[in-house]
Amino acid sequence: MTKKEVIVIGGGIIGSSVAYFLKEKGYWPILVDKDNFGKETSSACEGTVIMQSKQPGPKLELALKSRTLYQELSRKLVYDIEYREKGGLVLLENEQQAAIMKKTMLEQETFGLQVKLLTIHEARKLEPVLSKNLWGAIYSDADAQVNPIAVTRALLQDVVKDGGTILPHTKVEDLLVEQGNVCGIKTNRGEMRAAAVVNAAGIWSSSLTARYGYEPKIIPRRGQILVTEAFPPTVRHIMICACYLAAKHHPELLDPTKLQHKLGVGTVIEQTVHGQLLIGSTREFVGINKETTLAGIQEIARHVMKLMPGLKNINVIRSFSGLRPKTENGLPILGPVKELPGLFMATGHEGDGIALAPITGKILADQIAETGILS
Amino acid sequence: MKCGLIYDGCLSQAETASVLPAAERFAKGPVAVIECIQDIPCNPCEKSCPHQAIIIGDNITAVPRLQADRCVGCGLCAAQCPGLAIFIVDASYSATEAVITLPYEYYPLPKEGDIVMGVSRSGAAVAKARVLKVRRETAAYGTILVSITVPKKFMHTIRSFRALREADKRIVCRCEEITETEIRLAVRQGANTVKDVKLATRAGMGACQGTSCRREISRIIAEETGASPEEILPPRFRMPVRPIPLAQLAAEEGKND
Repeated sequence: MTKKEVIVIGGGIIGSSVAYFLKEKGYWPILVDKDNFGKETSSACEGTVIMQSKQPGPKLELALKSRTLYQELSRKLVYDIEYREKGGLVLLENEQQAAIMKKTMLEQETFGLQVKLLTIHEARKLEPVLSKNLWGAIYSDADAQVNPIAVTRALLQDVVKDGGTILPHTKVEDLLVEQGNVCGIKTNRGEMRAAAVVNAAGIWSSSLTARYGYEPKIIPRRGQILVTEAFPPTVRHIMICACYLAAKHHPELLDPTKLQHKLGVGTVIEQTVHGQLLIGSTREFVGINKETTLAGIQEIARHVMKLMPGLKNINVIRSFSGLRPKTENGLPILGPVKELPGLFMATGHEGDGIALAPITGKILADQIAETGILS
Repeated sequence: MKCGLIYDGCLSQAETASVLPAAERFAKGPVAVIECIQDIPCNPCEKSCPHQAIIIGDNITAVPRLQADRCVGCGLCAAQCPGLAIFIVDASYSATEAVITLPYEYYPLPKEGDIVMGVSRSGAAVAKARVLKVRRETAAYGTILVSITVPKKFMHTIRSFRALREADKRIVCRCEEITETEIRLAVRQGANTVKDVKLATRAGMGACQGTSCRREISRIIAEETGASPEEILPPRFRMPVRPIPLAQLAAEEGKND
């Protein structure tokens, strides 16, 4: 039996993961990217694999499965993906936030996510940089972090090692459609045919299919992030403030006149294996615009100072921003496209792409195998 | 572009994939990797194995097949192979490093503990390696087998080594300690902008944010690709211009755009 080829469009962490799991299932993946791999959103984000930030429901379920896959990948891949199960804290500034989060905690527990409410005194024992003025925190040992650039490169290395093809600087101009079926792509390097095509082009993924009457709404949402100088391990957990979750799940609760909420600023902080802090982030709708703004990075700094005054002397060395592909209902688009047989979508993860990359790859590979394309 | 043993003398990635034992076998300890894919009349490896782990059979031009569960990674086949096509790979050496044992037919011989440059099948520098052991295999005409430790991510890439050169020691990115050789390797693997090099090596991600190394990186890319330095896309400049403490950034009066 000759192996069937499957084209994956988009060489970010999602496309790389799809290619990896296709390869594991016995396909020959061909991964194409308009530039080099992992150069857009996948290298302009944080590396958090947080369970607590996922809305209890399908997303949390996917995230928990994805975490198990990350554990396997970090054992299996020869490249160090810097996966660390550090545990996470959701920081609560006041009683009102605590009340909202208590409800979420009960729901999270029904999905098997163990969480624990801590007083600020207890939380400060775990994380001395926290402000005494906070109300408390919620702890979970399930939260982890990875290095998204390393994950992308590790997956690609493994795909190539097992005979898959990766083609950088290959811009997809159109789909190849014959009798209503998608059977390949047209690129600046010519046509390529395959048994199936996976669209993992992130914020660019809806433009390809628009002319065939399928145009899912994917809106770029900008996240600005600060990088600090490297210093010895101090921030021991991945931390996220409750207002970040509020901005994500209950935007109606926020005061739109405040600059912080206008920019969607909520703190997410992690110390990488290399010692630098990544502090995020804004959540803004500004189209395809990757600038960082003074207002944005100052709001992030202000908010983190309120939560963690212990970090006041740490130097910021850079800011960067990435565009997250947001869908209308906030859930990723995964699976076959009814209007275009042969085409599969793996896009729209917004800010959860890193956490959900492994499970996305696995689901897509399973779905493609189920359609019997392999035989 | 065609690549593979008959085109450029080195196994292509697909050809390599076809000879590698399973990942589970690598995890268990040292195992032979027989990078022999041509139907040539040759069978010393089959005879050399005390565990009958290598099978060629009556047809002497058949390629050897490894029964990986029988192989103990002793290295006798590597010492016997006239084509120097067999390597012993031990992925269980440590969490971050693997050991590659290879036949070495040059003088001077390295000494145990030497730091050398691990090279790929085509001779391109890949990453630094440390010489773990140098042994003379008396059972195989005194062939020298050298064991080197390499970063695990390169255990299927590094297949020989050479002495260190100036470029291997010359640090271009001082904050992250990235050498000229590492940058050249990244460029040869397809990085053709300063950002590509940064993502591949971390050069320019440190405290100075590329202030001291970005021009040198552009120059190396230009040299490797044949472009002129002005054509190489510079990295994106981002705030802040100089490092600034978090508290000061938070307190500064900014405009609210």
